[in-house]
Amino acid sequence: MSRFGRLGVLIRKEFERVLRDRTLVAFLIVPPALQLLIFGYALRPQAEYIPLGVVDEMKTGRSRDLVSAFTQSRAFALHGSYADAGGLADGVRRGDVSAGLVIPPTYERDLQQGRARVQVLVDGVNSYNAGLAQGYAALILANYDRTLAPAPAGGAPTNVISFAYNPGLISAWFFVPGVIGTLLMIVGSLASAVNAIREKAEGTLEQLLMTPAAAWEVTLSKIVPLSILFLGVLVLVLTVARLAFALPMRGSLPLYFAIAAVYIVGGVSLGLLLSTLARTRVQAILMGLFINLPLMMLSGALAPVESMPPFWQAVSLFDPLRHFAQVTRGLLIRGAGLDVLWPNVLALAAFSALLIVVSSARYRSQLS
Amino acid sequence: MNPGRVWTQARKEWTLFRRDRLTVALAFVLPLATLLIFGLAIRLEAKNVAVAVQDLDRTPFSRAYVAGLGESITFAVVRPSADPLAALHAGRAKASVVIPPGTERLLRRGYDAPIGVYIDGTDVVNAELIRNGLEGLAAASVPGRRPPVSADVRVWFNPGRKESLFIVTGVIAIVLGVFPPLLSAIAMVRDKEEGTIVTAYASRLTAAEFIAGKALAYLGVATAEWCAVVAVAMLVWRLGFAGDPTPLLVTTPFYLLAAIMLGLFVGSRVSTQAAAVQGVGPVNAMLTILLSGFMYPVSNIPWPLSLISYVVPAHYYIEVTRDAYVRGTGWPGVWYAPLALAALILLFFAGAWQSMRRMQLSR
Repeated sequence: MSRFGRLGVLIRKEFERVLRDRTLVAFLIVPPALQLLIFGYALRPQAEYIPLGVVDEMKTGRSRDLVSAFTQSRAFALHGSYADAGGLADGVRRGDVSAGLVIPPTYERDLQQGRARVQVLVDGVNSYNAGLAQGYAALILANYDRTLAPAPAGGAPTNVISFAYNPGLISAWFFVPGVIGTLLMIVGSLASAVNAIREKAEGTLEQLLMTPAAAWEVTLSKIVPLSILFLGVLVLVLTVARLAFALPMRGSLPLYFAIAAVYIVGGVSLGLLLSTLARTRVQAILMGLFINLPLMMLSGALAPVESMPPFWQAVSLFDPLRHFAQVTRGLLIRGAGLDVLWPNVLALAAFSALLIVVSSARYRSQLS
Repeated sequence: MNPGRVWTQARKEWTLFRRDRLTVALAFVLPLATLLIFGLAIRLEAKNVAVAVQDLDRTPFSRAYVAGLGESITFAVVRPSADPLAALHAGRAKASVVIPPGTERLLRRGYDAPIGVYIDGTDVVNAELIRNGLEGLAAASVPGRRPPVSADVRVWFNPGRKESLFIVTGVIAIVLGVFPPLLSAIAMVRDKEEGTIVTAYASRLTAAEFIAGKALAYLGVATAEWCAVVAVAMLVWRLGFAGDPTPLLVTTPFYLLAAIMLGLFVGSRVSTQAAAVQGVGPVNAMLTILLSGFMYPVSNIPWPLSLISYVVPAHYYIEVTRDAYVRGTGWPGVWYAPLALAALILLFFAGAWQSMRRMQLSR
């Protein structure tokens, strides 16, 4: 039998073995699709309808104007009126409201003199949302000022803002690419680790040793079928993302699948590596989880890489998931091609090559 | 339920746990390493956002405007490209600002002058922060204008808006919601897989005592983990109690027990360790991290998905840790947390008990 004929047989055998394990197949398909849906709908970073408490000590048309300027925006929603600042403070402390607006009793008189001051309180526990709330309050006031003020001496610079690639700022378009990469890495490495360890436990590994197949052929036959299966999972989750979130696919899909294949092979090899380090499946999964959680958090899949401290941004360069998330966002959402994404693709190729070499070396030493 | 038998079962479980050195090491190393990595690395608010500025006006006004951009801590000015969208396309910048020629002249004549702003909407987490920052800058750059209404802004509880306070208090809840259930799920399935559960059936031990004994043993393990995690967090990030510490101290056992009970529940339902670990591991970790309000507010989750977040124990405990270390309101703010966690404990216990009870019919 020719070399490639033998490899083909091994791969087919492995394919059948994987597909026979119904729980494994269910584990490969159901959770990724479900999690993609849940997180695509559930994750929203924007601060919308921040609960606002108001202390209006003026209670005239002018002061109510200002309150409605706040509540008309999507940013704040009126949640309660308080008699005095003390009541508002209690509301913020209990968590009933997370922002407050205090209009002093002298508001109208001050306004006529052109120097009214109001107080804006922001709950700083969620510091990110507090920053957004601060920004919104400033914007609302600036716009309100513009409607009040007689034309100033000069004109004002006015930003004409457009959000490129995602004009509606649909959060799923940010999170779904991240979740896709995360799921492929977690499920890919765990499934391949579990699969390889089962072979060790069942003793079928010894049977493989007796065949004329070379070690590299056995290793490859472990990696290829699962990788093909995960490309299928990718098709599934992309379809779900397309149907549920109208995820744009602006770049070349064949290119995307080619890059994804490189990434998936890396994930499957990582699982194979884990299987050689662990003695039991539980240990393999624990190790896999422990590796995958930081990979996920450092990748920018859930929070942008740019927000991390510089040191950790540098560390994240060694995270394949970061590169894959960048490829997914760049290629699908921005429609970028290899001319832009080549550093990420190169990094992914390097990781996968390294993981294949290391894992097959360890796997081989286990075989012989 | 016989307390003596529960205690004996707990001691047996504790001995088993202690004997597996690798698991003991993992039980402490994994949570602490996760705490450090997450606590140090995760931040939401971007600083030094790359903005490509194309100054086609080249006047004192436009130069002052660009300088203002560079001075703000939110932005860092990078080299523009001929096409403002090209910098975004290449991922070199998160926003492009174009100051058209004649801007200063327009302003001097008393007209509003448009400034082109393109923000990369791919990054929805920062898109609005960038917008707010640029709008604020534009408002501040109006020459010689004093707004009729201005605001004193005060940020409460966390005046410097230190993000570490928000993230680390969340990570404490996350690691204790992720790792203890793993251990308890493995412990629950181990007996089944190794067949030693038969001895439990043969003994006078009831299903409830069996579960309670395991829960008690792992409550000890989780409490030790909690002490380690909180001590490291308080040392590294200088967390200090903002107010009454009793809500935290009272709620913690409820939380740890709820997490352990979740593991026992899943463990009782599946037959192999691998399945248990898969169920409690990745799935629980993703739910705990993403639907607990750790990064993004629970209030943003639309119905009916928001219902899931009510059975995620970390959802309640995060409120308590953030209150204890940042807000300091105490019981009036978080009185419901131990009650909700107690309800979850009962729910998970009932689920585990039901499937264990079925297996004990041979009595």
